[in-house]
Amino acid sequence: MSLIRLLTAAAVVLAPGVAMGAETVLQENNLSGQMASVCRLGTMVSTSAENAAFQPSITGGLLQITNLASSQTALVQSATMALTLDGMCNQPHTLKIRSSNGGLTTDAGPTGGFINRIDYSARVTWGGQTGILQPQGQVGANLALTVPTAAGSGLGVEIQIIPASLPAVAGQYEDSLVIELLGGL
Amino acid sequence: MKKMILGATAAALLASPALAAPSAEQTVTINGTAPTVCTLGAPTSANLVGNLNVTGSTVTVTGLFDAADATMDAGSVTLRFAGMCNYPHNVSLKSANGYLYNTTSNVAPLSGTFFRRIGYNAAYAWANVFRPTAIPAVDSTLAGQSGVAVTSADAAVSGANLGTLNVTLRFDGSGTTPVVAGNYTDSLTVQIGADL
Repeated sequence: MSLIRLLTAAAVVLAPGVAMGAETVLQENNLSGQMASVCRLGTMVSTSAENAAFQPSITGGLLQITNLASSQTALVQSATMALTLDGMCNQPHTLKIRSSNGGLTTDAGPTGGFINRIDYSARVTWGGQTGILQPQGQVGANLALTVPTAAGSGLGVEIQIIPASLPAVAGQYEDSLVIELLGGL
Repeated sequence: MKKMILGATAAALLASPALAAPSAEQTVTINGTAPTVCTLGAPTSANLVGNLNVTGSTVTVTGLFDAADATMDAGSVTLRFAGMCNYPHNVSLKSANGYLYNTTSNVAPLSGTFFRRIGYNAAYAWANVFRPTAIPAVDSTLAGQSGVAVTSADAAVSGANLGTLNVTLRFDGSGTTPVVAGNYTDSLTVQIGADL
């Protein structure tokens, strides 16, 4: 009889223990989480320049070609600008660069014997890959690099003005080069 | 209590995906200015009529003079310049004296009729502009020496132009009227870009 009571008491003591064990499992579930998909681009920095100057801004920067065309011949002068910016994507992603105008364009209309669009190339290096965008007049021309993993390092962009054999119509020339890191593939 | 704390942590983790940026973008604006430029190359000659001589930018009319009777024959030549202006511009001609004037003698003839200065026509053709008589012919017997500059009327070209600028010089000759001996000269300037 005495023994029976002891076992009963032990069972009573053990029962709350089981309940506490279930609570511990619940706590482990609460510690799990899902890391968000994040891509980030930092401030651009010029690492080298020839016949060009760069002024960074929060949203990118302004690349000014110092002597876009010769003051003697109106022929386009070569110019290069190497930019780098910190980038990070914590997932497979796509790097995309896009030319808004398809080249440096001006308001002046086409004239025989002259160019009114100045071509350039944009070479990008990212996630162990390299690609070159040459818009050649195609509005919205773009290049996409698919990166199957996360990547975080310096994103390199080298812009090179391409001389032409014909003189350029006088005026202001401009294009916007958009650089995007897009999460997911 | 402990359970509540863990619950709060879980809520924070769940909230972070909404704040994260799945993509990032930066834009480089690339710009520059192509300056206004005009160029004219050295001339070549064409359509030579008469005994004119062209060396570089110098046209010599000595061969038009007839040593037998001191008259001047007719002659003409076209000077061709490779030209370029990459913006809307003007084209113009300017004669420094308005004619060829005698640099060595300004002595009036004692009698008779002589040419003491030699007029000529200068026409140019450039882009869509043609001026057949930019410099009017002057072939009077009035006193010579340096005259008044003559400039063509302002001629606007509406856009950039790349091509050949033709300047045609035409000397009508003196007919039977003799020309006073001496060296005759003028300076003719052709310009694209700003107006002369």
